[in-house]
Amino acid sequence: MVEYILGNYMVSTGKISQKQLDNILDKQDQVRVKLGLIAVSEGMITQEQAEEINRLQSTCDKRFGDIAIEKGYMTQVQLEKILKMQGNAYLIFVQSLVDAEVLKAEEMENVIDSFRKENGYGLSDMEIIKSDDVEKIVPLFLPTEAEEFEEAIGIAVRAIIRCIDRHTYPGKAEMVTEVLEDQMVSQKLEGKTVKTTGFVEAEGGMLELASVYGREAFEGMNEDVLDAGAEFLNCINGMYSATISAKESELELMPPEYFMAGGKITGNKICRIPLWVKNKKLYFVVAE
Amino acid sequence: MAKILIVDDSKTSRKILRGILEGAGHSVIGEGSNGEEGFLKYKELHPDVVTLDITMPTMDGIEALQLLKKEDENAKVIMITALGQKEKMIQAIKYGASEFITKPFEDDDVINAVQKVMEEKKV
Repeated sequence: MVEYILGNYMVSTGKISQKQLDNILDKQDQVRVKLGLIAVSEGMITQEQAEEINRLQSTCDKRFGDIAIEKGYMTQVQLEKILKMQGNAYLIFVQSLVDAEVLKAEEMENVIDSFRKENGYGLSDMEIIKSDDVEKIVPLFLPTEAEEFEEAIGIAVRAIIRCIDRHTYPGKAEMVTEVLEDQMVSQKLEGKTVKTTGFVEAEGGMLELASVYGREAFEGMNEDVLDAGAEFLNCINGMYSATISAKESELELMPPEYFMAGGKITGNKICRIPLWVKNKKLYFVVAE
Repeated sequence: MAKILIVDDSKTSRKILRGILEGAGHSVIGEGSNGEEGFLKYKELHPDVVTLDITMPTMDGIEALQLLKKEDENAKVIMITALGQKEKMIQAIKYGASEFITKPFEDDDVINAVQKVMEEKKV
């Protein structure tokens, strides 16, 4: 995630071109090995166990390493070893920039500094971003008023990363008074309080999400795209409901809805976060 | 190989399930987009197995399951659910659901669930 957040910032500020970034990210993708592959090749787990963990990951909000430990397939020490072998995404990104002679290593400090100042982040926030830990990075993109939505948004982002596009990244979220958009999907979750979540199409992100989830290359927006988006939203809300049910009372999922025109999400408090899925923008919305 | 009826309000889910099941050599003999339609198709088509989504408008999966079991106590029904629907799952067990599949679909989970139900049917 870190390479996409910083890489796109560098493009927007003219430090590098989009083409340079795309080349670097392509190379980085080839270099960075998946955790499961390292664990299998190191003889820590079997191929079947890795596949089982991958399957479980798509239906629950847990990381590969956490499931492997929970299942007793791997120890904490082994997990730390393979995480070290996988390497830090930020350092690999800097190395790739330097190798491609796009930027000198010392110039990266200036990039980090201006990114930090422009976004109002502290030094410790930047360490979190550099760590590439999605769980900790997402809250940095939320306004303080959205604290109670942190879990729902975190689960949504992690689910999209696991099931749709592992390069998904967020932008700054904002509190809004209502969401009125033509192409959107939404679902109510009823429990102690009523929450509504939704995906709103912005610049093709919903189309990308629906194409992966629906196992069909959709070419334009239509009801089938929205149906696929609504079904994926249902899956995400199921994961959220499972998390909340373990702490409080169960949330009942109402049938998801979709709108080709005149979609609306209302509530006393609404947070809207832009997400880039396959580099195309959509919004995830939570309202209460 | 099983003759299967898919009941789900989502066209996407029906399409994905059909693809997985037919890919595994099963025959999807019908589809329903809500509980009521599913019940009527069951009476008409007599499938070996029904996959039934829990969360549907008009008539949800729990209500449809009760109707199916009243119609045929040997009906083999696999419930389709998102995570976190524990209460609904308990209700479904009470009313005689044979298996559960959690969304998003994993091909192996779907195929294994049908295989398990078909083995039970033989016994």
